[in-house]
Amino acid sequence: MNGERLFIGLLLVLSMGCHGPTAQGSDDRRFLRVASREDVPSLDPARGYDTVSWQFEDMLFSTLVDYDYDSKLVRELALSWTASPDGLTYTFQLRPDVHFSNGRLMTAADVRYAIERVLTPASKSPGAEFYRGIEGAESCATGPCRVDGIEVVADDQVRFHLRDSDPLFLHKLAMPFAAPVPREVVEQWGEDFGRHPVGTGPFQLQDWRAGQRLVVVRNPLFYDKTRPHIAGVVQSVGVNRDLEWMRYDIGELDLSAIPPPEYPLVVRQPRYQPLLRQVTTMRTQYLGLNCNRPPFDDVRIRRALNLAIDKDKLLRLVNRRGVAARGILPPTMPGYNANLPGYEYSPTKAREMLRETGWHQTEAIELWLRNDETTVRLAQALQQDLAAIGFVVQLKPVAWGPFLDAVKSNDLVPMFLLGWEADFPDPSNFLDVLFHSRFIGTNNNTNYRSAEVDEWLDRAARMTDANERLELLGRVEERIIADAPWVPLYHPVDVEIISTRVHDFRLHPLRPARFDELSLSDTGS
Amino acid sequence: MNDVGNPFLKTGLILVLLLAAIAILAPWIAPYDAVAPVADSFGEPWPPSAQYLCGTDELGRDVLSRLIFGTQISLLVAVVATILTLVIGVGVGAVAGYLGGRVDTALMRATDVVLAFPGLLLAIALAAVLRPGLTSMFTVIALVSWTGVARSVRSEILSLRERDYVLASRALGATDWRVVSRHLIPNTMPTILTLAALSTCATLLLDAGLSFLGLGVPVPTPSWGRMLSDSQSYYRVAPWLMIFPGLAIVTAVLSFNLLGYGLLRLSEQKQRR
Repeated sequence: MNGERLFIGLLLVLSMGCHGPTAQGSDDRRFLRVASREDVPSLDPARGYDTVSWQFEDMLFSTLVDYDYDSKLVRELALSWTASPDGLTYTFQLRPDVHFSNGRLMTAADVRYAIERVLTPASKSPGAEFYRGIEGAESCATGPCRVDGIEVVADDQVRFHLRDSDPLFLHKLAMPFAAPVPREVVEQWGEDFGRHPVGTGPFQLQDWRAGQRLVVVRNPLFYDKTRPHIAGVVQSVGVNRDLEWMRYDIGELDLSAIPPPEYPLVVRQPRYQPLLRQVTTMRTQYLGLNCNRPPFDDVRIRRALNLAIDKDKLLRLVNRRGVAARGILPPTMPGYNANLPGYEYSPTKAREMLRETGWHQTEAIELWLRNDETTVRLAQALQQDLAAIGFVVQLKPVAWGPFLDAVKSNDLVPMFLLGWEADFPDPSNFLDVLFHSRFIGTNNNTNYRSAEVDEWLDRAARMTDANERLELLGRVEERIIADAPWVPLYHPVDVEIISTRVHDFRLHPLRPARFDELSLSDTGS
Repeated sequence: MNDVGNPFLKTGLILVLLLAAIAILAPWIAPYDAVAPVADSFGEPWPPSAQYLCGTDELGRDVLSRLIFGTQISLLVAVVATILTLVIGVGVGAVAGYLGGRVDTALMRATDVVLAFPGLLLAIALAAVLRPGLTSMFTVIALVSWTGVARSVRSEILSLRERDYVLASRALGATDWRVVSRHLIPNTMPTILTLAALSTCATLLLDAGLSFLGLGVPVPTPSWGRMLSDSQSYYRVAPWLMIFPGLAIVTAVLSFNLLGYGLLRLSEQKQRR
């Protein structure tokens, strides 16, 4: 999913003092108080595919399986599951006592309906691709969606029949796309379901004022009566990271990221030490080069850019919260190749290589990026490095939503600065979704196209031997690095700080932080 | 300038000339490049030192050099936008004042409409629509700030057009254009000059404000407002990033203010004589 966590906003003055009337519950000590710069793009699990949306979708919806803090799959709505020896059939025994927040009992039919909905082209779900391997999924492309490969055995039992064995199938069911949704509510609201979401999660939506705040409250019907421990979560919207940190510091928020300028001061202060939480994410920040657009249709120019970037300098701008990236896969990902040579930083070689291509720059090339302070700062560092080899770049800062739309287009954006965070701990979640040509227009934003890479990826998708598969995917990564549609920059480490009244809070290596397991004490700020 | 009793004019003029000199001579007097990194201070700005008089920023750039080159942008925007402001303002004001009647009413109501918008908000809206860059800055600033000039010039013309020399000129068969351009506008010159200097102050502030909001010239072109805005998250770690651009803006605005006030005093003294 497209990641945005570490980033910081600007427009401090605009957002100051305009967070509207006091939220119902925002003064309530039983609510967790958080803030974000931008509104949640969607609360419809079929739609949202970014860290901000998933943070709240995780609260409102549940999936059959989920991840523990070691990124291992554990049961959630499913009590147990079995897979057939050939890997083509999965049978899930569901919890019998799961209710939607509107009071209706959740059954196996809802599991089927949710996936059929994602597969229906009309839902415009970015997740449809993940479920095409289920028998009958092709029916959705043409006519009414009847995915017979999802067999409703009983109200509390569902069986999936796959066309080919898929080692990632369980991971795909852990994505919010596959979260059961109540058909009657979806049909009542249609396109607006994302504004009136009803799910089986530990929380339910209470109030959402676009651009101002979002309030979720405890779902009394949640199957696990011990959770959540808090009454709800109040998210103030339009709070950039500087303001978020200031409001945290005066005790108005319970959770905050730490802006890079302040970070050295924070780590030096003993009182903050017990409040810091840190996690190594499965994320890669990169500079994407649109292979469709001159001059990046020339692989030599893409390679020259790879040699030109000083990644250490970028890391210094984020207080070394991260490690330099040589390849595409983050270090915590299975199949990570620690010996991948990548490209060394060598402006002289880069300049030489650029000169050899005989290319002459006639106008500055636009580098698109998310309009927030840290990203703009990182982009300026890139701009400096590229200027040093005689490659002139002009920055184009854009708001998050329009930016994500723009990079999907064929030739609007020549180069862009973005991050990708793993949806599940498997290298295909980077290599396949970001570089296979069938993802052009959705997630393959560099428009990278290689028949060989496509073929290898398709072959890997059917492989059952884990080691062989990782080896093949390793070859894919090496080839992509050689073709250089990306300049991999760094793998961030996320650091968040909690208020003294928050207990049992952990950051998750794979998913946005969860709020259903933490508790709040009455003391502390 | 034989007037020793007008220290405002002198001080203002000297400061403005000094700023102009800095802007023109920037490439020669700036110690370093304003865009490329010159110090190894990435992520941790260096405080002022003998080598970097105003310190360096988090991208390794020399703050003093950026301020000096920033003078170019700020003065250019201020001067060009002020000229545009005057062209629109004097044009509207003169036509309204001289023709009077329905034309006057129409033009002045239009002016009121523009005045009714909060200036900065209107500027933000316009700047968001236009492509970022110098031309947009000129246009945006001129479009929101001509109203004051129009009103002052109109009232001045209203009183001037009834003067005998205007009547005489018209009796001699002078065209409207000739009356306005040869008699009325030259006689409003003291007012216009004062307005120009004062409007430059407002323009400088608006430019800084828009740049602060990220709507000015694109990065990494040095601009005072942008430097101020970039520095805000470093205010505890590296206050020099905030102090120096702030001082630059204050100095420039003060210079033009002194000049404007000096001119105002000068014209008042002349009238009294």
